[in-house]
Amino acid sequence: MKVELFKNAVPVFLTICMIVLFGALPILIVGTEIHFSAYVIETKNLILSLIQPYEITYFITKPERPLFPEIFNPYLYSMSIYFLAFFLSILLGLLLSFVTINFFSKSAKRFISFIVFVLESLPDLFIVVMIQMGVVWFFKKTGILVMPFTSLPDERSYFIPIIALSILPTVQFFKMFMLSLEEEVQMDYVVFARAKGMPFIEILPFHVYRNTLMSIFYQSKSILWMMLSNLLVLEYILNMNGFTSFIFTYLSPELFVVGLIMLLLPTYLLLLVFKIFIKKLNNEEVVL
Amino acid sequence: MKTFFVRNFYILLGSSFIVGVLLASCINGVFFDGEIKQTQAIYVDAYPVDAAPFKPSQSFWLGTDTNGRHLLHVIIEGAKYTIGLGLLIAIFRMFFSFVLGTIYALYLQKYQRVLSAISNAFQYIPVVLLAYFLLRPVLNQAFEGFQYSFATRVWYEIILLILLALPTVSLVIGNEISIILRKEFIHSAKTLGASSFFILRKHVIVHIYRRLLIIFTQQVIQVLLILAHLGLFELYLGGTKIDYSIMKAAPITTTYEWSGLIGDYFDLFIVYPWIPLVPIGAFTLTILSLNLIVKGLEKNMNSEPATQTKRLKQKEIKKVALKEFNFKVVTRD
Repeated sequence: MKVELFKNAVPVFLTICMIVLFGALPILIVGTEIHFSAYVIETKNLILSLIQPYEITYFITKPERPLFPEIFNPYLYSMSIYFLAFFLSILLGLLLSFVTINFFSKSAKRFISFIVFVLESLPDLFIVVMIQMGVVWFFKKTGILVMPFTSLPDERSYFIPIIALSILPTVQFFKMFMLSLEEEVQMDYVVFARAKGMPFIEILPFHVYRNTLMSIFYQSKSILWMMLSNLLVLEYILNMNGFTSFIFTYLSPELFVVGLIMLLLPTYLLLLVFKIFIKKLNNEEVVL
Repeated sequence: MKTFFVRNFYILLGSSFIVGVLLASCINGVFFDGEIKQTQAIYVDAYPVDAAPFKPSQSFWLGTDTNGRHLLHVIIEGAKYTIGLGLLIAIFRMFFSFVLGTIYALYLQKYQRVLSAISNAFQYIPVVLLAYFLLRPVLNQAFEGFQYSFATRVWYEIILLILLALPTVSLVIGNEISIILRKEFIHSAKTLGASSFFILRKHVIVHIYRRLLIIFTQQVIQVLLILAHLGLFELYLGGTKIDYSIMKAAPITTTYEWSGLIGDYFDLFIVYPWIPLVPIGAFTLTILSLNLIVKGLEKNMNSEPATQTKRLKQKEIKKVALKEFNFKVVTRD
């Protein structure tokens, strides 16, 4: 058990080390010169400030303010949008693939795969901008403001950011589900179950989806990291005052390191829970 | 010919867009000196009736910006820098990754677990944030003026964007190579006395060059995405000029390079939405056509297992064999 725990902690530890090393990098290269001793000192300082996070401050101009109770407000906001969008996109991908594989004809599926291809190739920037324009257009037509354009600390919008963030992941999850479902449906056990007289709709959720879990895990790994940079763009364009825009505004080596670690840990924990879940349900090992 | 066209329809469509835009851009640069049409106001009988920016219409296809520059012209002029930069960085990424991947596949297989753990850890850092963090001190103009020369800034950005992708891409390529190296025919080639370089040149590259092409195109897409994001956050290629005077002009780009245009125009989004939408749309179309190429390449890879060169060789072998076996039957009485 202890070995297991250690194994799971290795990648996150490595990543934290790497973040610290990157955090000090602007000190290392100044122009064409390389200041190695300054780099070592900066790295040491960063590690020291990680040990005492309550002493980290942020500022644009003086006076400096302590980072720590302050940062949790935008942090919780951003994280809730991030995770809600993630779960929403898994759910939507699951539902859409269920509907598509059960009720759509072959030509309809080909059309859908074309749409998926186009949607998948759109940059996140374009999608967010289009949604922003859609909100404006909707407001002009009907007079209903779906989302305020500047957010105050007390009234924060959730609906539009979550939708905007979950479009690309939904498409990717949907594609992933379809690919692994189509592979899985041709397996012997599905044919056997159908031959026994089980309706297809019954086989799907309890047997087929369960076997797609592993590929979904690997997919969600890369999707989660993609969503992090999408979140950045989203917060910038929609003026959301979230965590990533906080890091951007007050960017300093300490804030960079602390911010990235704070983004990393919950994502990592989610993946760990997912991993244990797969182990319990399917007895399959996945690599974090 | 028809089958070729159908099979490569995606590739043809995608690459014709990119080649077309690049050609138009180069022609504009070479023959028209990179000149950009500008209409600041429309006059009727010497009285101005309307002033820039103009909406997209028949006379201004994509509209104009606030200075009256025709956006279609601006986009075409900037295309060669942006797409060229994407191609350049992706080529360098592929070259260095291929070298590193080869070294990894040939000599470093013992340390596979350690190296893949490091490369995995690298994946967890969002690239845009990292690039922004490392580029900002160099690219932004400080109060006293730029710290570094223009060439330094450009090279710093290019080198950084190359380096950021190396750990992941070289591991991917290294794994592809090591899969080929484990095949049986490699063993037999080695027994026959082939050197590693010979095997690499004659066997490995033949097998993975399609895969390399796909990875290359994906890298171009990635570079373009990062450039678009950096442009949005007002870090331009070659540095951002920040006006510290009281007038506070917006940061400007000098080359009409697309990512810079996004940053330039983005403040106008609420008032004149079509202006920032034009460079963003240009990025979107380029990425879409690159994805078309990827799709075509993937289809090609699945449909045609034997490579072209090998096929030719087999034909030649058949010819030779036919010649050799074309003997006359002589009857002996």
